[in-house]
Amino acid sequence: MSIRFQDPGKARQTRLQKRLRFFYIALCLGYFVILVRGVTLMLQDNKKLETIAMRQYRAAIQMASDRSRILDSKGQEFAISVPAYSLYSDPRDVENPSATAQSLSNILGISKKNLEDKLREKRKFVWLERRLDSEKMEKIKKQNLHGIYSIKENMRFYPHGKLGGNVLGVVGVDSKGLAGVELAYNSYLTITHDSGIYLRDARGQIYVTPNAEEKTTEAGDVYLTLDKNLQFFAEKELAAAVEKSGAKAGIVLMMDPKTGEILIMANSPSLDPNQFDRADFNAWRNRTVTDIYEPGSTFKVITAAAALESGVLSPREKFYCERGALQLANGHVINDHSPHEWLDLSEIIKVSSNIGIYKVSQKLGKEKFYATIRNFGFGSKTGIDFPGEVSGLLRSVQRWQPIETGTISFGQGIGVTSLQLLSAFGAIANKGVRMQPHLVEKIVGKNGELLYQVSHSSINQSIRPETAIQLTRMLQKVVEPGGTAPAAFIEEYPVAGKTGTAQKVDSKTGRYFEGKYVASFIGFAPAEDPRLVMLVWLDEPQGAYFGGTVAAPVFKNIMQKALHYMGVPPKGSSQEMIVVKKDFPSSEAVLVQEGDQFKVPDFHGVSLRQALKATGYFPVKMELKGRGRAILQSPEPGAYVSAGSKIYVEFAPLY
Amino acid sequence: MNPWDENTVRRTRFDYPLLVAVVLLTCLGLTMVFSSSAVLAQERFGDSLYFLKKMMLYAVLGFGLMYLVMHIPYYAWKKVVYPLLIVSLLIASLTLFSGWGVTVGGAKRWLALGPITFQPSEIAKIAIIIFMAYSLEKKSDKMDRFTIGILPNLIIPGLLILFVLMGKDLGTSFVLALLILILLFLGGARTKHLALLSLAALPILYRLVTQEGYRMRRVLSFLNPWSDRYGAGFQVIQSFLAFNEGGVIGKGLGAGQQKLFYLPEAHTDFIFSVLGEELGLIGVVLTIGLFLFLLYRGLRIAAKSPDLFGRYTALGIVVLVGVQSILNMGVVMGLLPTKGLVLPFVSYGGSALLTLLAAMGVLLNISTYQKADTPPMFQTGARGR
Repeated sequence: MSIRFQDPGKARQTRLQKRLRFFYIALCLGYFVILVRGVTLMLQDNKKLETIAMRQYRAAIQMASDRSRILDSKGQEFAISVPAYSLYSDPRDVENPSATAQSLSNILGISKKNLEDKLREKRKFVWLERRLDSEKMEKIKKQNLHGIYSIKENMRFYPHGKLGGNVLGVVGVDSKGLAGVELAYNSYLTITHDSGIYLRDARGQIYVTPNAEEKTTEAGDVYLTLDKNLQFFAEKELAAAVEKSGAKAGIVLMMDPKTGEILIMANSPSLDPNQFDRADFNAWRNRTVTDIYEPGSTFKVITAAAALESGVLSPREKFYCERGALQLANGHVINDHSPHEWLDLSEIIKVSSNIGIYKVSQKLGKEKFYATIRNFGFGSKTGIDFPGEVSGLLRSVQRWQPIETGTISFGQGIGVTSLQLLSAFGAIANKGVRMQPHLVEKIVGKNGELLYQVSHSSINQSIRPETAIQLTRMLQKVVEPGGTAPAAFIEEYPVAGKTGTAQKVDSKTGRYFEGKYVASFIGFAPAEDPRLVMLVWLDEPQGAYFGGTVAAPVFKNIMQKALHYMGVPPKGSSQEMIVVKKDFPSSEAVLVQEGDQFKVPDFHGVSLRQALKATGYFPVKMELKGRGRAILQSPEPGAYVSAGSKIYVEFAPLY
Repeated sequence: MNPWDENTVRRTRFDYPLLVAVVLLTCLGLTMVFSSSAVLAQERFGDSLYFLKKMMLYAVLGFGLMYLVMHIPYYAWKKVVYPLLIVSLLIASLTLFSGWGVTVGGAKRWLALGPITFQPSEIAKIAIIIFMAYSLEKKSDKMDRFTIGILPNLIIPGLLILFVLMGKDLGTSFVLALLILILLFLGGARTKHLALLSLAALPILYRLVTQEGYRMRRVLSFLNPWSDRYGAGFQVIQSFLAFNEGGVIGKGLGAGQQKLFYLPEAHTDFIFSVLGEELGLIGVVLTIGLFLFLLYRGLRIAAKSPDLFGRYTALGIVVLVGVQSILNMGVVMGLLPTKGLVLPFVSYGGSALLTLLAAMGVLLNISTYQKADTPPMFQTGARGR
């Protein structure tokens, strides 16, 4: 086998060589063009492309966000975040929009047309329903529909439904706070993720890159000043009272006058934030800060405070109460509930005489009266950390009609919010010092770091301490026999308070409604060292409408329970007190507060039931394991722990 | 006992730099295939390594094949020119007309033989190159005559192209036609003839484009991709986006987002976009550099080959790799209308990689033969090392 290599002719060879070179240059040119194109594509800023990139990658960021918890003052959960499923469609994959819509409609309860329209959209990502429960999700999965997908999202959940609903507020589908504390503290409650972390692919599915890390700097659990147990009891009592009296609405407010912590903020009707979209419009607002009403007789206390503060009258000075009717120069008649003759200031408050307080106000003069009203905070917002607060209706003193000093003295012609009134009475309870009311105590980050801690600040010294003490004594008489609210009397805790029964004003005519009243009672206890100030307010009770008969019993029930609950030592000794004492753990296994810290007791041999009570009301958690008698504990007896820490105790049966 | 003249031909070692370039390109390809296909593979097969494993298997087989082919004297291929053509035609017709043809996306491009699917157009490429080299050598002194130099070279490969066209693979047909045209040019055909031939092909091309709606849409969307952003222009805009996101240094290997179903065929046709996004301009320059270097070595081998068959075979292989790579890059960068073309060595595709590596084997074998009068400084391969 032999092979013959052909040698091309010289001329042809040079021509071919030229063509080869030409080809090589063309090849290089081709790559060069591509390189130039690459450089322009890759290095030039292209706004159009960047916009598309942003849109298509990052559209899912915000909905992926999670929310931290809302807790009560003792760390009990009010609002938590739970995983749920959200249903979406890629309409391009849907085979039969009509049939798919029909089967989804049956499960979701959304109209078929609505769904079908979505499934026919010329997009690749359409939400069908956000945050489904797993039961519905299972059903949909079983249908095995093409083009219908789901992703996990976090859903706000309120384990107690309506409890505190109007305070907690509402979270929208995109995990944004829309109302209440959820809105006010939205930035702290929103757990944001690094923008690069949650991205989506072309089909809208979310993928997470491995370095996904939550930013923990901002978000944290919000601890309210509310006490879940008290709130629960108050809402129960309020609902019962509203039901019984046939009222349209009701409010219970409770505050620690020394700190301004709001312990109870109860509304009726109340909102279930789990189902806010189905809630009645009336149930949405937090009436304690948004609703203005004429305070009525409760405002006489403010008039009395102004009178005592100004020194224009002596507490023993008596006023003639005209036997129940006083005709004014302009023809108006002021009536009393029952006829009285000569009463001093204390008696005027006790029997709630309109004529008496009118005469006091006339002696007082409008300037001094107005100054005290302002000092108590009326006409301006209390500044509570809650959205939507209003400042009430108070005209400046220059524009008062001659009669207004008189009518305002018994709470007509002025609009206040419940919280303003509570705050004013808080000042009386706190030796004249009005504390800043607040709802959030602290915010604790994920790793236990304190992100925010409220400082208990005073707004002002509304009245002198002596005036406060004098007023307290007068208010104590209200609940005594012969006063307007003996129903608010608590045996073991002296109560100071005032009833209010105000006729409602028709906003259209400006006249008072016949038979439409607002019944209220506001007071504090124990009178000599007030721990709690509380307001009960019922809107349009049917039948009996006096504050003393409708609101005062509610006040009594809640106040008594709360003081017991807080372990406030009762005055003297009564049957009930012994019962209360029995409830407390009798052994030594009780935490003792020493400054900011708590001393850990020896739990050995203690029963589970006793150990449960060991922390009392201190913000220390117990982690208990097993049953029987305690055999192990951590930390050791005698050690000190700080607020928010945990004590672990293990139990074993004795036999 | 050598079958060639010892005075004019010298044996040397194979062209080592060419092998290095081939290995590097294949490794780059494996890396990019994994990066671009992992998510898709996980989703479709529950195994993110699915495509990588297959591609690695093909690479191992391919290098084995290359090693084998390297040791077959290139001139032996001359003996199988016609059998190769007949086999190619047979396979192509089997794909089209038998039950073994697999239709993917409306195009019949694959032949299924048991567990193996094969793309017959890949064999056709090699068959055409060898046929052209054989034919150009035989008629080297009659190339300026249309009926002898050009016409036979059109008829036989033309039949193959027709079969590929019938499989609705316009891209590959275009590559084959271009391959023939360039080889005729390099073989010494008259420029006038070639120009007339190209002119005659234009109406055919026009007809081919307009008769299929999708081809027309692709051409139109190429002219203005923004006019139909969510339709025909979608692919190329997503590709632009990938390059734009990449910048100079890229997002990093595996960190690209465009492969997450934004880019169509991220691991095949549009793998270069993923490369651009993840490795940036640096990666693009590196890839182009590797191709240029590989083709430069190929041209050197062609220039030094002792006979015309070796020269034209080497040139054919260079043209094939060069044309395919430029067309693919041009498409993903929006310089050319979209067609189903892969990037040699880099894109996922078993038959393409096998064919390419076999062709590299041929090229490496040619590199072991040199004209004796090649000056030492141009000699390929180091001697006596």
